Parts: sequence; structure tokens; C-alpha cells
Amino acid sequence: MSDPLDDIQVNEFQVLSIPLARIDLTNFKYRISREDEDIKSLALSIKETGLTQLPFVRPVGDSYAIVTGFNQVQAMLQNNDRDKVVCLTIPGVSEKKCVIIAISNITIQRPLTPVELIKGLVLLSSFMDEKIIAEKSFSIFNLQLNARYIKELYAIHSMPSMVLDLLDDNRLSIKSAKKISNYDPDLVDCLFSVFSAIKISSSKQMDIITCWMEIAAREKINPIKLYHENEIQKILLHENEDAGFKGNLLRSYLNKRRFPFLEKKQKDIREKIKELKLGKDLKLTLPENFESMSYSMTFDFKTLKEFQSRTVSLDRVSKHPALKEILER
Amino acid sequence: MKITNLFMDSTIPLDNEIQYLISRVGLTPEMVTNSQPVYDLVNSARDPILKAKSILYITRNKGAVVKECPGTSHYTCCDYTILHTATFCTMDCSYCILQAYFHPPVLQYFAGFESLARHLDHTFSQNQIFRIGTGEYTDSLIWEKISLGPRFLIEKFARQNNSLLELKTKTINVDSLLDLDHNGKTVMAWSVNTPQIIRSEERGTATLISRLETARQCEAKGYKLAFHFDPMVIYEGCEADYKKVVHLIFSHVSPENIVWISIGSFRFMPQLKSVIEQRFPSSTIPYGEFILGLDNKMRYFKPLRIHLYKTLIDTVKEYAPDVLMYFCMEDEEVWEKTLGFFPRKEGELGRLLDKSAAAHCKLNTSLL
Repeated sequence: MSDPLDDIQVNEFQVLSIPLARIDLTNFKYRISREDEDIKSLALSIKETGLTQLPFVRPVGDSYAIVTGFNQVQAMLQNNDRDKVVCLTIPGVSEKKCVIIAISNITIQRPLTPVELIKGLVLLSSFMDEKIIAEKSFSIFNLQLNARYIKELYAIHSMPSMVLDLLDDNRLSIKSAKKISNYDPDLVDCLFSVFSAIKISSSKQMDIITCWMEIAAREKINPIKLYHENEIQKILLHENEDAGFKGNLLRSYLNKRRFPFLEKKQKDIREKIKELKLGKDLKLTLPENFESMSYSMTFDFKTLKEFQSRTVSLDRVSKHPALKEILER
Repeated sequence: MKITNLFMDSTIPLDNEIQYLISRVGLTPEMVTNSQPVYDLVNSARDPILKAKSILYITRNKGAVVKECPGTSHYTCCDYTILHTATFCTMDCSYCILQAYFHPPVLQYFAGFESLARHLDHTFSQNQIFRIGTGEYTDSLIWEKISLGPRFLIEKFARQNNSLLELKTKTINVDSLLDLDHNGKTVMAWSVNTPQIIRSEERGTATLISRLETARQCEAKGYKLAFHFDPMVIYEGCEADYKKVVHLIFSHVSPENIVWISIGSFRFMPQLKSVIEQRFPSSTIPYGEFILGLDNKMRYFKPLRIHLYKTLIDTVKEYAPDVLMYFCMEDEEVWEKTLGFFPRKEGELGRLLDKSAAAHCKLNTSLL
């Protein structure tokens, strides 16, 4: 498969010195990356050593649209360097080629973030369908994508714009966003509000979404109603502002509600284990989910004296009524 | 469910068995040299599983005709023998494992009574009791409406004395079988569930009452019976509902004609969950308190299973203290806490069932 940039000849590039005033600073069409909040260090670096990587621009009428190098141009503005900018361009370069250049400019340096991937795909979709994008995906995105996945990413893009912020902030994974994209818009809004307030790993996000929907199904309530419940709101508005803390609290609450009997049993058994006062000497391992019948008790020792001490502890535990209750579960 | 497409392997002769089947289906078969056109048609549908229920493929069984039930690891198996006469089903139960077991599922009728007879003769010649059923990969009696298969098997089993035939069903399709000379070797078995579960999860199946009415008819014709509480589903009020099912069974048939009652709760390969969610969006059965079992199937949290089983078993014992009850795929703890014993030794459960089979169906007890 040929590289989409292969058809650009090096000698096609032109180096231009353009007055900053002729660069359309309001045109973000080709912007895929998030705007850096802090470009001070880049501005300083440009001041010291000049531009080491030239922005690529596309002539549009009398002005130029930035294709790559948004941050460099912003940094120059910050430096009050308003005279001329040295840029690259290709005379008559097509929009499609500019999109590919914008994407490749990132992928040659690092993998795209989820939002960059989605934005890049959406930009490309004006020029080719998802099947063709899938065929060319490795050379453009440095990723092998399939047409179905690309369609799913389009669906994410068509959700309220907040989804991209959540993805950018790592509050929502692509997998979670894909799952949510199938729901009604009102429910999507509710879940976005939930994920705006918390921050947890992708697998825990999926847990929360799954539990959320299954609680609604089990209890025959509208999943939107769940969002407005006091318990949920209390967690989301918890005085502890740490989003990770809130995420774990919410997940724990939903798990308890989704698996009430299992969670209660596990809590009861944990309390019984505390009663055994095993300390650091002995470690009791329960069968996973109490499905198997095999328990294990382990201990370490370095000397005969320690070994004898452990056996005394074992003997004490074996007579403790809590152990019987644990085993009879 | 109506058959809308009939395919037939072009090498299969148009003998009585096949002519009868074709005439009952009422369609001209499309002759095929391989199964690809069938799979293509099934896969062309938006819901291939549903589509497959209306496409019948008459073919040959290219695998084992008689085989041991595969069972599952870590849980006690009953050493059943499967007679592989067909695959898939025209009814549509949300929890049906066949939806995820075959890729895609195809409604196949395995032609060839001669081959079937040859394999069965070999089984009948062995010095061993066999409990044989056709209801593992299909419903045994959906075929009664269109094929001579069930009749052939009942008459075949009637002329031997080491094997029991169990025809397991959720239908009431017994009309052509009632007056056969079965010689007590066939057990008519029904999967039973609460009316709520039948209504919500078992599309196209007979109601509980009609299943039990049919069981009564079969009993009157000398057939022995079996009931399978499988899959039991946990929902609010399920204990009372399952008790009522037990009551209804014993108000229709006598305990002494019941060869066994099997019990099992809803368990599933994890991949079935998304199939149920997609095909049965209003079903809540995948949302019970499931854990991943030792055999990598989702199962209800064990204390919940034990509680439900205990309720059922205690109720059955009130009506029929001597009826043999057993679990399909449960472990020692469940057995001990509900039935009060555990068939610990290898093959012990199988022997218990063989004994009941021999006693009820007059099999050769010297083989026990």
C-alpha cells in the first residue's frame, strides 16, 4: 500500500515568508490537536532558537489557513513576533492532502489521542468513505482500523460536543463513549454529567455504565430517573472534590445495588474474618465468589519458634465460631 | 413457526422418510451440494437466529450419531447419551444456548433411519444401561409434526431392553405417538418453568398447563414421564411460583410414573448475554446476581441457587418423597445442602439414574 504522502514530491514544497496578518487565525478547520493551555515554553524556545519546525499553510483566497503548527503561530503571537512567519506550503494543494498532512504531522511524532483520531477521521470523511479510510488507515493514522469501528467513531463525534472534552480529559474512554452512543440523547446527557464529575479507568467506566443500565432493567425504572436519585447526586456532589474518589464511591454504590445479595454476603464474611483476628501471621483466602469450596490459609515463618507460634494461632482460629460460620456461609 | 425455505442435500434419496417430511413441510426442496446456500440465506437476515428457525435443511449427520453428553468441568454430570438426530429449534427461548453455540444456527434434520438404526443396534448390543435423548441440540418433539423420526425411535427402542429413550420437549406434539407400542422404553419429558418465565422468555412454546395436560395423556397411554426444572430463573416471587408448578405437576400425573426430575438454574456462556440483550430487549434474565462459575459459565451466586433449589426440592418431597431428583451440573455443596447427599464417586449419579430407568422402564437389571 502506498503512503498517502508519497505523491507529494519534496520539490513541490515552497518556503514562504508570510506576514502574520495574512494568516487566518480564526480558521481551525485542520486543527486536530487540542489547543495547548500553556505555550510559554514553546514561545521561549522560539525566541531563543527560532522556528525549528515550520507551520504548513494552505492558500485560501488572499490569506492562508494553518494546516499544521497552530501552537507555533500562537507562540509567535505571544512573543509579539508579528512581522513575518516562515511557512511551508504546496501551490494548489488540495483540502484532502491538507487533512492528510495535518494527521500525519502528529502520527510521525506520537500516537493520536482518541479525540485526534475522531477529528482526523471526520475530516477525512469528506473525501473518502469509511471503507477506503480503513484500507489506508495504517499509512495515514499508523493504526489498522476497520470500517465498522470508523463508523462507531463517527457516531461518537455526532454526540453532544461534551463527549470530546470528556475524551480529551481522560474521563471517558472510546469504548465507554461507544457504548453510551447507543442510548437516548437525554440519557447520554445524564451519563456525560456523571462522567464529568468522576475520573476512573476505562474498565471501571464500563462497569459503571453496565451496572447503571442493569439496575434500571432489574428495578424496572428509567435509567434517567436513577441519575436524579438523592444517593447518586450525593456522590456526584460530594464535598471531597477528588474525581477519582467520587468515581470509586459511585462504582461501589452501583455494585452494591446491582448485586445486593452477593455484596452483603461478602461484607458479612469480611466482618467474620476480622473477628478471627488473623493479624499478619495468617492469611485466609476465600474461594472466588464462594463458588468453589476450597479455602486456603497460608503463613510464613523463619524459625521453629515462629512456626510453633503460627500453629498456636491456627489452633485458636480453628476453634473460633466465626470460622465455622465462614465455612458454612 | 412456519418453515419458509426448504433445502436438501442432493445426495439424499427420496425414500419414505424424506417424502413424508417434504409433504408435511409443504415446500419443494431446493437441492444443494453443500450447506453454503443455507448459511448464506441465514446470514443474509438482520436476525440470523430468527431466520434460521424458518429454514429447514435436510442433510446427513456427518459427525457422531450417538455420543456422550460433554458435561462441564468441576460440576457433576449425569453421564447421559445424546442421539444426534437434528439441530436447532423452531421455538424461540431467550436463554437458549443454541443461539450462541452454533455459528450461525441452522435447523437441520439428519436423514437416514438406516444409519440411525445401525448405530442404535450397536448401542443395544452392549452390556450396559443407556439413557439416551434427542433433546440436547434440538427439541425432541418439534419434529413430530413433520417427520416420522420420533415414531421411528419409539418403535425402535420398544424392541430392546438396555436403553431408555427420553424425548424432551416444550411442545404438546404427541398426537401421532400416543397409540404406539412403546413397550415402556420411552420417557416423555417436559422442560417446565413458571408461567411468568414461559410467557416472558419462551416464545412459541406450549403453556405450562398444556404441557402438563399432554403429560397426563401420555401417562394414560403407559408412557413414563420426566420433568426438567431447567433453567430455573430467580425473580421476585419465584419461590412461590415454582411451588405452584410442582403442585400443578402432581395434580396432573402420579409420582410413580415419574422416572426423574432434574434441576438446574439459568447458566450461560458469557457471550450469550449480548445475544439475549439484542434479541430479547425486554428480558431481564441476564441481570440476575451472576458470578463466573468454575466452568467459565455465568451462574447465580451459589447461596441464591441453594435457596431456590431447597424450596423446590422440599416441595417436591411433600408430594413425591420417592421420586429421584438430581442436578444438572452442580457441585458437592449444592447437593449436600439441598438433597442431603452427593454422588461422590465417578459415575455414581449415572448409576442412580440407570437404576431408576431400569425400574421404571423394565430394562435389564442384570446390567446395573
